[in-house]
Amino acid sequence: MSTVRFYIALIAMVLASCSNEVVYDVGTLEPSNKGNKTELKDDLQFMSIAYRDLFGEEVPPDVLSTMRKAYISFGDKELIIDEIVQTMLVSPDLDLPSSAAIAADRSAFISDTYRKFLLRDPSDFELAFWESQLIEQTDLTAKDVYYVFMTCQEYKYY
Amino acid sequence: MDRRSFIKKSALGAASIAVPTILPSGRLFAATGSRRANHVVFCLFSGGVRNLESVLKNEGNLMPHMLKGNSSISTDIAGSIDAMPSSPLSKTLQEYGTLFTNIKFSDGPTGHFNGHTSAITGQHTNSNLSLRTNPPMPTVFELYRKHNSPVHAARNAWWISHSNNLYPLLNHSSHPDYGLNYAANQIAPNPFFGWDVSTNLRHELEFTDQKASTIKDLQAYMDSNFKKTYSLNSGVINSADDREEMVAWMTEMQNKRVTGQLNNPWSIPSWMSGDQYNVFFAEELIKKFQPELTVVNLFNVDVAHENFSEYCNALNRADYAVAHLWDTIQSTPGMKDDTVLIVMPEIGRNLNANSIIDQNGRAALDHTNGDPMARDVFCMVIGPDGVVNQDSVNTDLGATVDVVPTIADILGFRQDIDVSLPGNVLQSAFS
Repeated sequence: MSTVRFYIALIAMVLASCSNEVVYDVGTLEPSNKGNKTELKDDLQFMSIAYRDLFGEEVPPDVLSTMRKAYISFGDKELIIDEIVQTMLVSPDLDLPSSAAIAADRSAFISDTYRKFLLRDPSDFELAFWESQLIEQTDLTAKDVYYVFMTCQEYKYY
Repeated sequence: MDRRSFIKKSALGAASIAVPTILPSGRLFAATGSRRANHVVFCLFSGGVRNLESVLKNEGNLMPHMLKGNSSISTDIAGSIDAMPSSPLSKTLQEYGTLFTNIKFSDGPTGHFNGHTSAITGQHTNSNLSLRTNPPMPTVFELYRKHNSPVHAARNAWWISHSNNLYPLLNHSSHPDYGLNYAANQIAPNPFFGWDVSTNLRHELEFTDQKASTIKDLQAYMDSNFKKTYSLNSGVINSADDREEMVAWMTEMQNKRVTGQLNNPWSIPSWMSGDQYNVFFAEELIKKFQPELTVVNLFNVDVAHENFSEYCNALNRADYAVAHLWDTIQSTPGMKDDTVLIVMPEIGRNLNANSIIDQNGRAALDHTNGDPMARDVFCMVIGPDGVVNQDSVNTDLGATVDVVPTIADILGFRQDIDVSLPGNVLQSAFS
């Protein structure tokens, strides 16, 4: 009897120790081909992830604090998110692919952009669509494309 | 095309879906009742103000711009009261309307959020009121928007909060028949137009017409490949035109902040308080949008928890701010002679002081449920002669929950409200 209790207690301890610690680290997610994101990012997640996606580093606390202050101080959230995205995209610290680099390998730029922002590879159709856009719209810059990705619905989810 | 125009164009499609042509109530245009005025500004003179220091003038007249009387300020605290500029008004605010001296916060905990919620919803609250979610009963903004014209309605309702602490939650409720679709625009100007946000959130992408069109098409393509599983909480929904005006106004204010044009714009001899800046931004917003319903709150008097003399000083500063607000309203085309201003603290403060003594030997004041004085406040209803009774004092018993039905009465939608409101219209204010 005491042996049975011991094993029950041991199993309970193991389960409890597993369930108490939750680690959120979306940076470890691997690209998916399915795009079946279902969870809406909250405001802090959106701003933190957007910064990391663009700058390749964690958002500094003071930058996040400023973005969050702007976000919670105004009721039209769509408008403020747009402002925040634009602010990040015009930052002089942002290192963007040049037009020449994009033209040299459009497929790679598009695939990288899908992975960077949507955590998945583009479908063959998506890849073909974007390649044709980059060929036809010669003035499309990396900044423009990033703006499109960061303001699309899929980017609001994870 | 600049970015503003791009936002406007790209938002057109979304707005046409998000803003119903015919609201769920089935109503399309104005409310059934006649209006007393077309604009209401409700100034929550909040932070907890006792009648003793306001209308009863126990320390002398600390509110000389709002209240009649020349009684001298108590000598021991007089040195702590900062000088304000001379009044922009030709007479006291009280003389432009009716002063109610016997208003009760009759039910619910005497906390700031409960007081605000009660004043803005017209409902009593209790200790179960959540501090994390929107209130359960519709706010005056939702009542106004649902039971009035939907045309440009969101830009006509503004909640201008002194701070971000809890108060942004009060621009709409979680009520299933109201909620986000009828929310007010909300702004906390002091943090939003602070230096850090103003210097960092003012850059813009610029798009040519052709580029804007291309980006719009690309966004539509991206969204066509993604099926949303949830509704996005996008906050209050504005039309594309209104959003464009708001961004322009924001940018103007932020530019002024960065270029130093917002350093003491009222030329207060010492400095401008947070309350005064909040009213300043409310005035700028009123001049820009001429909203039909504006609620703005003050908060600095809550320093009373730790410093009685500074509480009196904050009261004196708030008094000047409200007079300045009324002067701006009367100088704003579209608002002049067509606005009713309601001023009321959300709660009072205790009769009995706490143990914190200030520099003048005065004891500080809390606001607790068991002290009846924490439930006593005043209310001032100011408006055009012929609409509001001028220079009148009313001592009848009223309640803080009376303000919402009074606003509904002024704006002509009182009889359209289908939720029960415990308060009554402050009828004796009106001619």
